[in-house]
Amino acid sequence: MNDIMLTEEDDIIISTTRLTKAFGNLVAVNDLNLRVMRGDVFGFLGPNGSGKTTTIRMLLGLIRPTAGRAFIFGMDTHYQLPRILRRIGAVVETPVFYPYLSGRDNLRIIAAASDMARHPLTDKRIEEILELVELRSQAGLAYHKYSLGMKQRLGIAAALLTDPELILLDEPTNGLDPVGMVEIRQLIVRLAQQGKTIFLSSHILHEVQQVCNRVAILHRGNLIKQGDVSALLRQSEHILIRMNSAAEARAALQALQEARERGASWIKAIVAVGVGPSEQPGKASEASGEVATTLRVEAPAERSAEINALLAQRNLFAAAIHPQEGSLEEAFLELTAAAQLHGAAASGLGGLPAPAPYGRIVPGEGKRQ
Amino acid sequence: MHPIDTGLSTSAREGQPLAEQFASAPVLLGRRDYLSVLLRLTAMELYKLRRRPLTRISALIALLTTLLVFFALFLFSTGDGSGQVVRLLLPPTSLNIAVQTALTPFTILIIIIAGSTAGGEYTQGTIRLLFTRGPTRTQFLLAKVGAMLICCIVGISVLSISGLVIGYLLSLLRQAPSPAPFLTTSWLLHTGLFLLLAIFNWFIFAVIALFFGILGRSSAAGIGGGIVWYLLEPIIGQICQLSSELVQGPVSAFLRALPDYLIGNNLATLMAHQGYYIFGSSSISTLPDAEALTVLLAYIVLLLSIAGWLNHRRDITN
Ligand SMILES: Nc1ncnc2c1ncn2[C@@H]1O[C@H](COP(=O)(O)OP(=O)(O)OP(=O)(O)O)[C@@H](O)[C@H]1O
Ligand SMILES: [Mg+2]
Repeated sequence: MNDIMLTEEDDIIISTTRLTKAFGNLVAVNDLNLRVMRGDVFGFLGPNGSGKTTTIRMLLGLIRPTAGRAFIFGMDTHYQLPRILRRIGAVVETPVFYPYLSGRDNLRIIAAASDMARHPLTDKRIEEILELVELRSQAGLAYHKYSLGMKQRLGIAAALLTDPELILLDEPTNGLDPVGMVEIRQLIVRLAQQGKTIFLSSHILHEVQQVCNRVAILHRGNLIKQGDVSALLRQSEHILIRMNSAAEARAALQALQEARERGASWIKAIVAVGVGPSEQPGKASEASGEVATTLRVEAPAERSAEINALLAQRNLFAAAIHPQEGSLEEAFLELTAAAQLHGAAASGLGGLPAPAPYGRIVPGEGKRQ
Repeated sequence: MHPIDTGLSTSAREGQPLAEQFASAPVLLGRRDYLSVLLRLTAMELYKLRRRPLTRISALIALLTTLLVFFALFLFSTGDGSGQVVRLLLPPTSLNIAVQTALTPFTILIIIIAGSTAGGEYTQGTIRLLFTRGPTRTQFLLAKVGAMLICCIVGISVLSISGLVIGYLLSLLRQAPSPAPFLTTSWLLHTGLFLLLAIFNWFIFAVIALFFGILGRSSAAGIGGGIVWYLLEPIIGQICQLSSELVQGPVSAFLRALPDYLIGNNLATLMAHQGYYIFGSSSISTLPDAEALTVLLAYIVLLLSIAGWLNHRRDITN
């Protein structure tokens, strides 16, 4: 959190304080405190219905927060929306355009709605953007004849048309084929290299892992984690050790616990797991007796040699040692599973200290299970 | 271990088509004052209207019907020795026929166009495309109103001119009696007002359809609401008149006064007054023009205010 305190105000692109949206009794987004910095490729993750789209809609002023506020470029979305929107490109959910117009004509509409002048340069820019998303050959085709992937590309084209500083993409690769996905990812990377800030909501965790440097994870409207992707990946790194028998596994467990007590602080936790290393490594349990021949050590992957040495000192020889790189998927599953267990109690985990909100707070807000 | 420095980004930098063709043309912005933005959005709305199949079909139907009406008159004039029917093909009567043809059946077409232009943004979901670009929601609404107004002006002008031209051309095929002179300054003035009222007639129903389209967030609501209003008004007027004779006292007075506040009656009054000067038709109503106009303007202001308020306040969730 220190880095946030140290950064210039100018570098905070999005910040929300206790942003809340309730639809009747359903709290879709609860007390959300987000910080997105200039140049971030910010992954916004969460299971279906966790409130990602609702948050994006609030950021864009499409819906009013029930409580809390959102600032973009340091301006309050409640009061300065037009000025904010002129610096944003966005795709909310599946892109929609006028079905009877061609892709190119739809972009002309967007250009007019975005205050772009009627000028040959605007037409040139439209052609270039169409080329960029590889739609140029189908640009004259009516939108209702587009495939889902072509629609997504046109959505991205519309978002990039005005060369915005901040790009909000809500599941942009939804419906794209594998090649299309890679292309969009490359495009995002390139945009980031140009200094654009990108806010990317997605279900596709490996995609987020590849392109994002920071993430926030939402669960039933609550922020359960916000931070650097690399830190999150390090957190879920672990080593699986398979011993030849349950007895050896118990001995190894004891040896490693002793090592940790003696100062090997890089070992964060050790659990015996009942299943083999290749299946369901995330489902660790304190399984008892015969089945538990495998240990899961929460430690950096590069420490596996040291672990091997530690065990060898005690005459314990592992049948196999598998260092496991961290994956966002695993971190995500763990965090959402934990949030499921703790319910709303987890809501404060990733949050920042928040100033008092303005506006109405609905009864029952924050008490949702 | 910054994820951006992966092999993926390297391949993006090297030689992929995507990497080479990043947009180089600058974003050229137009004027940003309220009126310029509004005009640009109005032009955008007109462009959409022009490109919509619905508008094109409506325009075609209206033009063909005008042609048919005059052609029917032409056929009726076959056995007419006195030249009374042929005279209908010529101004000033032909203007009245053209405008009445436009107003009576084709107000429904304007309702359909306006209702779907407002509600369609919600039905299609394109509303979120517009509302996230920068101009305010009020500007978008006003642009729609402006586009519909222009649509009404163009529609009435084209239909009345086509009527005049078609009628004249057909009359050339017949022995037309030389017309009585009518072209005076006063006639031109009243004809101008008559056409303005015809435009206003369409426009007010366009506003009603816009209102219902926004209220119900769908084309169906806009079209349905507009058409029901259009068809129900005369019936309500009739019922009021009939029932006012059955009861006494203040209720009766109220029922008698109510039709004076219906849109259709006020429009009919205004048009009949001008028709009296132009075509010599008898004026049916005793309502003063100013009062009728005030009632109609009040409707427009009220409906647009409510629509504007809804449009401004509401959450866009579709
Ligand atoms: N207009 C609405 N009225 C009532 N509830 C709504 C509305 N819009 C969204 N919700 C509810 O808010 C919650 C969050 O929805 P949201 O669309 O933000 O989820 P999401 O994270 O974008 O999900 P997905 O990954 O499926 O796109 C859901 O429970 C949804 O049912
Ligand atoms: Mg969503």
